[in-house]
Amino acid sequence: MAGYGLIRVGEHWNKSLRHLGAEVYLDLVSRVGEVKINKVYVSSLFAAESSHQYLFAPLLADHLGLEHVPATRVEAGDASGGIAVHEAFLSIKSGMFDSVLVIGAEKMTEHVASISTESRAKLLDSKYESPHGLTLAGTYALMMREYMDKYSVPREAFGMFSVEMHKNAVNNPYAQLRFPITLEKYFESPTTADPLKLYDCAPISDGAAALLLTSLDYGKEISDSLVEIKASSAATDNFSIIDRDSILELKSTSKALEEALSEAKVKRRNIDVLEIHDSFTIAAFLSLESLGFSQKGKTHELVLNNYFSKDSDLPVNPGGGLKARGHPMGATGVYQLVESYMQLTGEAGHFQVPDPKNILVQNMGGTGSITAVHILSRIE
Amino acid sequence: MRKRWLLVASAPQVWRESKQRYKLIGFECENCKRPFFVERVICPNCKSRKIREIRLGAEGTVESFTVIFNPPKKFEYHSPYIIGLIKLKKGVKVIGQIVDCLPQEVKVGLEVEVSFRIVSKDEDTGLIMYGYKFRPKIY
Ligand SMILES: [Zn+2]
Repeated sequence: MAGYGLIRVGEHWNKSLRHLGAEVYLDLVSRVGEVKINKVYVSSLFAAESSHQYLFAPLLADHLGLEHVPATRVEAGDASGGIAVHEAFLSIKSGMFDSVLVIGAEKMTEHVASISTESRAKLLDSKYESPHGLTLAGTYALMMREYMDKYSVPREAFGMFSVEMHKNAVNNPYAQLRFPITLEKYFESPTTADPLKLYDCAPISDGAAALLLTSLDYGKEISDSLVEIKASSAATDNFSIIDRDSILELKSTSKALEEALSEAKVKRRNIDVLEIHDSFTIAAFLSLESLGFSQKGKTHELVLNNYFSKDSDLPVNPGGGLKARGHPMGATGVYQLVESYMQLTGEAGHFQVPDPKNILVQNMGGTGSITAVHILSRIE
Repeated sequence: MRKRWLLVASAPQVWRESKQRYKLIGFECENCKRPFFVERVICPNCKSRKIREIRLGAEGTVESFTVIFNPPKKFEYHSPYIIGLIKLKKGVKVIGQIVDCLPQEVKVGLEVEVSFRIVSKDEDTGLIMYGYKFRPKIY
C-alpha cells in the first residue's frame, strides 16, 4: 500500500457518484503525485441502482483522465471494498502489474430510506428471504435475538459497544457521526428491527476512498510511506441463513481469518489493532467470536471490561467503525484499509493508536455470505 | 413514479416458485438423506446430484423472530410485521411472516403452523404472490 485519498463519510447531497470518485483520486494524487496506474478496480454496490449507471468503472477511469487503463467494478455486497483490494493484490502478485488503483465509491442518500432498505434487502436470498419482507437489519435482528436468548447477554453490552464506537469517531475527521452518545441515548433510540435499536445500526452514508497498491519496487520509487499487505484472503459461506447449521457462526469470516493467519505467518497475539465489520452491534460481537478474539457468548464480558476500547491492548475500530465512521457499503472496505494504513504510517492524527505493527481488517458482505480479511504490517 | 429496479416481482418468477411456496415443498438428498429447503442441484452435504422433493409438513417452532419497523418500500403498507426463523419438523429452517398474533405473544420456542396467505402485492403489475406464512398453532 503506497498511498490513499479520502473524503469524510456523510450525506453528500451536492456530489454525484463520479464526483466522489474524482475527489478521492485527486486527494491521492496530492499525496503521491501523478503516478503510473496499470489497472483500476472500482468497488461500488449501488452504482446501477442509485446512480442508474452500469459500466461505472470505465466511466470513472475516463473521468479521471486515465486514458485506456482497464477498469473493472467489483460487487461483493458491502464487502466490495475488501474484495476489490483482494483482487488488486492478486493482480500485483501475479506479476502483471506494478501499480493498481482501488476506488470505493457509494451514494446511499440519493433516495428515501425505504428505497435504500429495499436495495439492501437484495443482499439477502431473493427467493427465500427478501420476498417475505425480511430486511438486512431484520436478518441481524434474528441473529441478535438468538444470541441474547442463548447466552443471556445483558442489553447494555451492545449499547456499550455503540458508545465506544461513537467515542472513537469523535477524533476521526473522516467519520460521519462525530458525536458521543450515552447508554441512556442508546436505550431511548427507536427500534428498527426488534431487538435492534437505531444505535445498533450503522448509518446510511455516502463516501469514497482511494487506495494505491504497488509492487514493493515500484512503491519504493514513489512513496516514503509503505505498508505491507502480509495477507489478503477471502471466503464464502452458505448464502441463506436458513441453510446454516448455526446463524451465530460467521464461517466465511473464520475461514478467511484462518487462511490469512497462515499466509502472513502471524499469531493472533501479534495483532495490535482490529478493524472489524460492525454494520450492526451483533455483527461486531459475532465477528470478534468468529475471528477468535473472544469466546462464543463471552464478548459482552470483554466489552463491558473495556477490553476493546481505544486505549486497551487490543483496540477495535479506533476510527469509529461502520457504526460511527459510517457505512458507505461498497466503499466501506476501502475506508477500513485506508484508516489502517494511516495507523501504521502514523498519520492517524487524533485517532492514532500508539505504535501499531500489525492490523487485521475484516470486511463482510451481506449476512456473512462473503468475507475479506487483510493483515497489514508496518515496513521497518 | 415507479423505479423499475425495485423488488418488482416478475410473472415467470412467481409462477416458477409457486409450487414450493404453495405446498411448502422441500428437498432431500437421496444419497445422504440430508433434508433442505433451498432448491439445489447439488447436495450441499455429499455433493450428490440425486435430489428428490419431500413434504415438510405444516408444523414448526419459532427459532428466532424479529419485528420489522423499517420495511422495504413494498412492505410499507403492513408495517410493523413479524418475521420468524421457523424450524420445521423435518429439521429444515424457513423464513416466513408470523401472523394472527401480536409481537408480544411471540416467543422463541412457540409452536406454529402454516397458513396460506397473500405474501405481497405489486402495485404496478397487480401481481399477487401467495404463499406460506405461520400462525400460532391452534389446538
Ligand atoms: Zn447428500
